[in-house]
Amino acid sequence: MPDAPVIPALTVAVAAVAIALAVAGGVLAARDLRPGKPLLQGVLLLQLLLLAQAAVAVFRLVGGERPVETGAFVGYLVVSVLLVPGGLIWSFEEKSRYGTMVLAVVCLVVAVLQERLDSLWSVLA
Amino acid sequence: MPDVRNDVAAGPGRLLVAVYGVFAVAASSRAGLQLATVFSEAPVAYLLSAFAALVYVVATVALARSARRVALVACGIELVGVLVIGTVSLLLPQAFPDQTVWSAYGLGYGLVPLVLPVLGLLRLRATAPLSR
Repeated sequence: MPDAPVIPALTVAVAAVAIALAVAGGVLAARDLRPGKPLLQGVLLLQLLLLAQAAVAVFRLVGGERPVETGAFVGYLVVSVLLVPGGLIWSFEEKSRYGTMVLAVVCLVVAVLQERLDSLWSVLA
Repeated sequence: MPDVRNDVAAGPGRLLVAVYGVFAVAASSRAGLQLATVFSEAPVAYLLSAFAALVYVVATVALARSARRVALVACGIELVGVLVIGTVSLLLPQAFPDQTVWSAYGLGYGLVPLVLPVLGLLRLRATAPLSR
């Protein structure tokens, strides 16, 4: 019986926050608005959660737990902590609604990544 | 600094490049992993995946920097690739024992591989400088 997911509560929290932010970003973009302070704070919170999750995952990998596809898992983990900073930098200069949409898409990708991370971790070697 | 109307990566182009970037990273990490670990299982499919990944990276950078000619070639290769490989993968499934991004017109990736080059080419046309 494989171990529980990376850290179930954290993975679910990350996915929930990411989806909520993606929806909020979509609504703002539909109303032709740029991301306001609340959305940016939410994105910051998301990044902190992602970093916490990555830290726990690295800790457990170093502790000897290995998903069957360790390479893929680490790849997804690296991408998961780089997506939000990348999206922020890329959307920063865009003053139209499309900057907001970039953030929304990034959050959506983060949510999808959680599913991938979770399913990879659930098959331990 | 080019005119904003000729900047491929401004406005909707910003979003397009972001999606291209995500795809470039996803495709190249997957291809890299396949080449490194299970290459011998399906060399043709994995080499094709690696080639597709490379084209996505080139297209992303070219669109982001408004390098029109390179972007045009990259998007063109993608469109031809997804149409040809998509068709071949449906007619001769045994030729592709493992999926590539372009198999079945990119159905495994929500048809994004089919839509992206079309949007890229449209964006290039929409921002083309008037040279008459």
